[in-house]
Amino acid sequence: MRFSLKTNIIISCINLVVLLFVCNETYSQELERVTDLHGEWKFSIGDNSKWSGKDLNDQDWDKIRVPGNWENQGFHGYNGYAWYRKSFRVDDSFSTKPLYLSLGYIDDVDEVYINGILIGKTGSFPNNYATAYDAKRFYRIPKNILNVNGENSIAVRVYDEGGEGGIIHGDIAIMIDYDVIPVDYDLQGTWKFKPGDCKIVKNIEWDFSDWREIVVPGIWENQGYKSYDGIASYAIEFNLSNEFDGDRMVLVLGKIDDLDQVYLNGKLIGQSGDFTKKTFYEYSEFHQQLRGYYLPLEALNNSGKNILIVKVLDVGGLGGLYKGSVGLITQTHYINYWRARRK
Amino acid sequence: MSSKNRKHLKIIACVLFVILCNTAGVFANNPKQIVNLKGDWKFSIGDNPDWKNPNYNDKDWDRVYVPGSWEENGYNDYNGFAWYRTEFELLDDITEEIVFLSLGYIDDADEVYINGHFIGGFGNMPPNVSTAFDTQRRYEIPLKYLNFNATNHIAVRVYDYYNDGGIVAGPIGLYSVVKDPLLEVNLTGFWFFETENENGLGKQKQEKQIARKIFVPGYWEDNGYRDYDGRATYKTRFELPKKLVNQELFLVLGFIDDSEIVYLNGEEIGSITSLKETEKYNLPDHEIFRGYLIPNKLLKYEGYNSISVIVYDKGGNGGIYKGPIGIATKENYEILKKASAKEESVKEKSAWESFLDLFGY
Repeated sequence: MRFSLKTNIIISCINLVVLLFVCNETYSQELERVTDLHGEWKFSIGDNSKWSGKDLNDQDWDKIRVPGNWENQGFHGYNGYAWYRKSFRVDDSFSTKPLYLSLGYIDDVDEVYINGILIGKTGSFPNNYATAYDAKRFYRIPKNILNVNGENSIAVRVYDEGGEGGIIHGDIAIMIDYDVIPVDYDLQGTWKFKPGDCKIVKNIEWDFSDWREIVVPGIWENQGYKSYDGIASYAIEFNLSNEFDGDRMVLVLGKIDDLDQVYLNGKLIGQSGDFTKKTFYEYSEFHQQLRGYYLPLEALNNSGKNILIVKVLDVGGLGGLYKGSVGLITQTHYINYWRARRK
Repeated sequence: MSSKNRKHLKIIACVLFVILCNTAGVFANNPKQIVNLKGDWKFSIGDNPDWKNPNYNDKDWDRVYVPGSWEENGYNDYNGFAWYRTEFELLDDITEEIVFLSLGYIDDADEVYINGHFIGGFGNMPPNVSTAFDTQRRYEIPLKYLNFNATNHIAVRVYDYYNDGGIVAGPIGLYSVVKDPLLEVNLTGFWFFETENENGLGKQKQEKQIARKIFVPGYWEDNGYRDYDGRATYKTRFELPKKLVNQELFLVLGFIDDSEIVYLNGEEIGSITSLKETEKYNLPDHEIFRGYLIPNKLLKYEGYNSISVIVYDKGGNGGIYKGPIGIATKENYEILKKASAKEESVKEKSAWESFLDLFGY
């Protein structure tokens, strides 16, 4: 069979149409609500680090409806710090699932604790103030911090610079995100951060004294680096005590905007994209990609200190390690996770 | 257009090209398929050197259809390592000298093992990844690695660093180069290949590829040398059957993009310039059928004769891109030449060119 020129053009057009369908396919998040948190919360203006605690007696605190701004609930004209608290229960059957706390939109800056442990932060408090009123709060709850079948506490520290303040609107709930990879060793939380490139040295004794803190995952624009584009470096130190003897591990970094290079203990272990290329073609797709780096067996120190450095190149718009679970997972668990997703 | 679209288009273009070529009789039945390996393969994400071993127990692995991206096979959004495994029976002793494994197009990098032996790979694995998604995978299999009248195992380690991943498209199977009745020696197969400078290669180092061989005929762009323009050297060797002593013989090189100088046992036997002078062609260089008279005094009837062809490509695709390739008698050379002229005159080929133009290649 021979194709004429016309037939060829028709075939290529059909292909093009098929392609457009394939490429526009979007992947929706698979969420399940576990605990609804709309309604009455405890509330106090002011600021005290002790208010994050699990067993704080907040009986005398005011009541407030969440979501909703505090101006319409008796605190008209108030700007500054305030705390929200709420207790909740989670069924045993959900405790092993990837749980998220959804807090909708908060005006302007917040920091969230569960059972006294910081799980996330958006925006930047004074003196380095940066609002994040337009960022949707969706915080992963680390494994093993929940009190299964018992009381758990949420404490939200909020700072409002002006105008309306508080947990303003959106969905307030604990949710399961089935798309999230259930890591065995969580690295979500506070990392060290420095705009600009950093020189990687093999020496495990790093000096991070001039680095600032940042919460991972989270866009850096919401954490005091408004409209910063270019290279920035993330670092975290963590200690292992033979949790993963002999297992090949995968380092999961969620999604990153846009490109990244990953160094573990001074050694490049993986990268997505090429920092030297400057074409759209080279980076346009990378912020959508899930990062899972297979660690060479000898790269991870399984009985002591590890230093992980992630250099990120953001070519425009939002930047950073912005979404998904961050941590280590054994290859066996990783394979199981992907196989389960397939079914 | 997004890179995903571009990747898709390019692969579809390549596959269509293969279909067109097959239907137009360019490839004819040579290379010939010995074993069809399209179908369900064993598949696992992850990475483990043991998985290359023929006796590894993969019975719990998933099954995926090859060719097809793993995204199409339920592994949406997955990037990273994965292995494919399959097995096949080889009943008869293969008499052809060249057997190769075709794995179509793999996104992005791969390493291929047959019965536990490494036979080749394209692209780079982490940490310094580079893609070879547009390289057609053809791996020569040394016959000593094959088990005749027994089971053979193939294991393919793949690394994908974004979007579609896996053995995504193209012909999948075991192929051999069969004897061409018009050629005394068929030189279709894997030639040694060297580019003059490595600029065209970018970061793509192919150290692991056995001795940097390339399948002839074919554009080098389709064989791991994306965007390479300039000079490159092809080398191979052959033994001359005794019956050909003192016959007038031609080295047939099919079609070359753009120009070349040809050496036999170290002596120049011709170039596109000399060919055009003697044959009075009125065609662009890449449309001229190549046949070089071999001076008898240069030929060795004992041991190997070496051929080396320096090809210069001034832009676009390059290389010894279309057969037949081999040693022919004068009589058969004339037949091949006429046949190729006929084929050229059928302007069907321009359909492919217009097709490419559509997408700006």
